[in-house]
Amino acid sequence: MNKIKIIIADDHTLFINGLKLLLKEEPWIEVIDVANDGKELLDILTRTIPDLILLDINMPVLNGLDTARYIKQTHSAIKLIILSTYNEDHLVDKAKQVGVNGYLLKNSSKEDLLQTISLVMDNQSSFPYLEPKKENTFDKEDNFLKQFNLTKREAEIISLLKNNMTNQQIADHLFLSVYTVETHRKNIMQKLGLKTPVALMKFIIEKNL
Amino acid sequence: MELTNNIIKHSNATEAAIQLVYHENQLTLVVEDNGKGINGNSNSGIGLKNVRLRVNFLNGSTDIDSGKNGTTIMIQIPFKEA
Repeated sequence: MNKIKIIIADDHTLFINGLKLLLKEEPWIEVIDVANDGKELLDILTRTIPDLILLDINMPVLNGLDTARYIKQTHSAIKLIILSTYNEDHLVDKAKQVGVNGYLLKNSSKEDLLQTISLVMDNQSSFPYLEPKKENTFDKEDNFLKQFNLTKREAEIISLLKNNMTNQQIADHLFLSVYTVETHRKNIMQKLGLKTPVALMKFIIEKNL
Repeated sequence: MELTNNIIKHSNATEAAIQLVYHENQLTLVVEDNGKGINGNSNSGIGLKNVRLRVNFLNGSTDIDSGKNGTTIMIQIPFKEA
């Protein structure tokens, strides 16, 4: 099997050296070069083409995202994994837009790194899980509540139903009696114009509540 | 109204919801709050007793689900469509 040829681009020398040491232990990986900023990386690419680049976001001269955008335009076959200190939605989103293959936090473990490299080399992508955008979900939920005249409590019960909880489990969870949960459930169905529990579940799934 | 009065006077609740839902052959009144719940003594207070009496008069049922996380009172009153 051919070794995966990797270039590391980061402005922190100690980080690069540490990463090189880590990857040295892996027989299937070969670090063929390192760069301290985006421009240096692009210079290297005129001489040699790696399979994958581990790219820091925050670098002088030419930052990681701009470098990534350029590389994706000129060398689309090279896989890119962003290594970043920042677990911020907008950066992950931007990285996705640019077309990088993975985004890994610098506080990840060696196993995470190796797994991400394998995934990406297997033509898959790997990004941190993004919390659903809170404002939007809230708005959506709010509209939904208004549309069907549902109370907070009823919305709560719907979200528990979505988790496949039984009336008894919902009752325990909300410190209510089963009878109360049943009453809420009947009211919900009446408001939504649904006749059966199955129809309710279907509604919840279809509306993706 | 008796039930809302109770919420305001006794429950220490910060939120309450009052709703009347029309079903095919019954009317459901749900009064909820997130207050401290009804303790044993006041459960048999004059106010609630009165509510029960009036609901009974209409052939309805009164159910009270009360705990330290709040109270839900459900009143169901049957009716026949004219």
